[in-house]
Amino acid sequence: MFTHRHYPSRIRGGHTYVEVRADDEPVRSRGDGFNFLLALGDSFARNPDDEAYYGKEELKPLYEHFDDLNEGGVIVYDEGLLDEADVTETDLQAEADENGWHVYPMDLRGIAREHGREVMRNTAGVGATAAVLDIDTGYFEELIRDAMSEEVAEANVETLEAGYEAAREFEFTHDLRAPEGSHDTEQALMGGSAAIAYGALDAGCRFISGYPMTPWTDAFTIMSQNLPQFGGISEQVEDEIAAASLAIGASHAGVKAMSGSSGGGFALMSEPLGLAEMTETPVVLLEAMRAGPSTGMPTKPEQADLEHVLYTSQGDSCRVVFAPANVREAYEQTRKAFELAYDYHLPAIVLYDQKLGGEMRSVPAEFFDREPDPDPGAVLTEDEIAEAAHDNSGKFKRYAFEGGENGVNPRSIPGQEGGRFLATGNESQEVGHITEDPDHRTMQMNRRMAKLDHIREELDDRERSHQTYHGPADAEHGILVWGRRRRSSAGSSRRSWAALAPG
Amino acid sequence: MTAFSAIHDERESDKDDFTPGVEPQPTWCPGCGDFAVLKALKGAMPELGRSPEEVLLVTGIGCSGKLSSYFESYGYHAIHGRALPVARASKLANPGLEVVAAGGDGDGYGIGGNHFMHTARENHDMTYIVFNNEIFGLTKGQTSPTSPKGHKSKTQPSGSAKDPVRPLTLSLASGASYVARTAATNPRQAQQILAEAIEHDGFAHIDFLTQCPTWNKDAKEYVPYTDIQQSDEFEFDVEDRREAADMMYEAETKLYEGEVLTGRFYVDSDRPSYGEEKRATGEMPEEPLAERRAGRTPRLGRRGRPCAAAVGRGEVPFSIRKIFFPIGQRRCV
Ligand SMILES: Cc1ncc(C[n+]2csc(CCOP(=O)(O)OP(=O)(O)O)c2C)c(N)n1
Ligand code: SF4
Ligand SMILES: [Mg+2]
Repeated sequence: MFTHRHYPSRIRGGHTYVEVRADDEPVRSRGDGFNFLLALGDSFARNPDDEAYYGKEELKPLYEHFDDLNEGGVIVYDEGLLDEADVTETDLQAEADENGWHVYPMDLRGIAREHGREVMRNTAGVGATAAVLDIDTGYFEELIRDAMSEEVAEANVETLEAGYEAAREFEFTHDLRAPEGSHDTEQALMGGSAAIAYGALDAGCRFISGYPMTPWTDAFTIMSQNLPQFGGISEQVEDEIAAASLAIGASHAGVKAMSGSSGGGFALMSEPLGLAEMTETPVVLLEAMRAGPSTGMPTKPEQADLEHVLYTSQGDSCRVVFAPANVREAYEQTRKAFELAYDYHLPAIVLYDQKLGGEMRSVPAEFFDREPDPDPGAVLTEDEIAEAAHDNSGKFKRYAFEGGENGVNPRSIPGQEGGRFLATGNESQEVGHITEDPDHRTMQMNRRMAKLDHIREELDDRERSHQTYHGPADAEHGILVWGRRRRSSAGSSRRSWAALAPG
Repeated sequence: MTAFSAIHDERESDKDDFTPGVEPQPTWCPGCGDFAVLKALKGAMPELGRSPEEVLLVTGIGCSGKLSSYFESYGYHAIHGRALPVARASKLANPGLEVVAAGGDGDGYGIGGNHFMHTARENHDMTYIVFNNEIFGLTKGQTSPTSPKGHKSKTQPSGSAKDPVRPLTLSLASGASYVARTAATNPRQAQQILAEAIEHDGFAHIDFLTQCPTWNKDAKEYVPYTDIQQSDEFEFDVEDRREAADMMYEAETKLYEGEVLTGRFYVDSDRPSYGEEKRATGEMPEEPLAERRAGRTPRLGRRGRPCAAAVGRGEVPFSIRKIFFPIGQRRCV
């Protein structure tokens, strides 16, 4: 199962829809075209005289997708709200005849009003869908009862059944059924934002700070709702500079912490991001891309921020960026991001987009049955601190020029006996005092940047690599992609190989 | 057993414990008011029985920000204007820490003004010292948010057309539960006020008047000062918001007329700190968050030993399963 949601950046009106692709074979992308359309329209974008506030836009569900509706496809639309005669963009009847579509106009609004309330038009529509595609309404009933209070659930179930029965009045002419099949194992229906949040929780993250911004808000919300149950803390703060700074402060005090945002908010994090690199404070940041520049198109996916997250903030970058391609990778790479950030004392960023964050797809539930990781990374115990190097005033050499394993100096945490040091955004000496000495600078730069070589080595290892390829191993041509687009590229690669193949 | 044995440690300390070794010596100019803040802080901490390693001093950028270099404790010298967000998260993560944030007037009332407002509003249990020298010191003498109207500087050669920020009023309106002003020229009062502020449960803001003889010659006007608690001239209830507001307004106005009023302007000892409020909502654990993480032997957990996970998969609360596996139990069609 694979889903995609589309919504505009406003509260009322606008064309909003969800695509669901289901098959008895695994589905990897939205695919081309669809077979069934349920068009509802927006009854709340109407004034008391029942005129649409936003004019023709309201009819979009009924004509916007005709180009993609396959031959022999089925349309159910709410004639209680949408009048076929108002559609001037195209002639529904003529198109239907030409393409062999089966059209079932239904008064879903009337059904909802009679059995529940007007808002339940969608439930009536689901009932009708179940009838048309021959799905047992029991599944939907279970979901409804799971999600709603008893009274509301009752009205919805009644509306669902009424929608189902009303659709059965038609003499069905179509030949379309929901694909039948079953999984060998229990499945979880999950989107990228949830997978990232779950990965973070399993990675031991117990602190998140943020400021709402679409589409990053999803991950932030899921974390905020769940962290208290894990004994963690979520902070919604005044802006993204604060958000990143809080995550740094919490991490400095010994907690696995994260923050995140989308394009514009992430831009505000540039300076704290550099601070984390310089003070070698571990932190994980999310960047949920949306179409830019500036406010751009807040609810639309775009993948144009790679360079932004790689290089934003002054000086040489000392960070790791992950760009997961799917829900499993979103979970896995978020965990990896925490592991690297806390082992190597640097920021790790997980870059994804609105599409990956919001699309729900089925993943075997057992995939997520992993051991959580409470390991705090390269941190010393008080006994170990006692053995470590100090200067003559008793300050701990947190930034020793030599560097430990992999160039990393395990850190002490404020409150630990014998571990006091200064963390500073300035270039620093071994205990953290500010320096402008060229030798100090060279040694510290070399040590910090060397961490990246070790990380590269670790990630280049074929076993642990997050890079994959599709297609023949001896291909002459290739397409290089990163992030979420990999799937559609893999899907289209067969076509592309053909196009690229010489003669 | 705690992983942080420096916290609430009973040992006596003195001001030498809060003084680093030979290096680094303060690089502040002779006669700079910043020395007085350092001295007052070094005096207040042992008075309260604190030891260097239970203190986290977070500073901003400026001459003032160098405080963390010259004060011996755990230190975090952050970026310009961002000491407060770093500091308050550390406090949330480990409430056992004595967290002090410090920075300049430009740092706190200008670039970091938004954080000042919100940290005060949330009443985080910490102390915030603003070195108010009415100037950008480190960048060589530009007009700051507290520079007087008409102040001439390299960037306002004809004199500033802006009224200065009213830091005490701003603090009160934002929600700080302890607001005081002291001056470098009054070291005894400074140490007393600092000690009180550190002891205060909630956000304690000190506007510390620090002269900058290098860039702000008017600084000498901080002498003489009047302590509003000592003087008979001022009768007001420091716990009453309205009276405090009037007193602040007067002090802020008079400062630019050459009369320096210092002392406690507002004290609310009843208001719960943010940590307490947040714990009451169930969104902050009782035991310090940091306590559960630090102190574990690093690297072994994942790479060697099986890790004794705090939250095993089996223990994942039901609602988590519900959120993550909304149709987990069902057969998919
Ligand atoms: C983002 C950013 N902008 C500007 C600066 C340059 N800068 C450093 S200190 C400072 C102002 C210092 O004034 P103040 O905060 O009053 O501290 P003082 O030096 O007077 O103690 C400025 C503008 C900086 N470091 N970072
Ligand atoms: S420039 Fe001013 S504030 Fe900075 S050290 Fe010198 S006297 Fe102090
Ligand atoms: Mg200043």
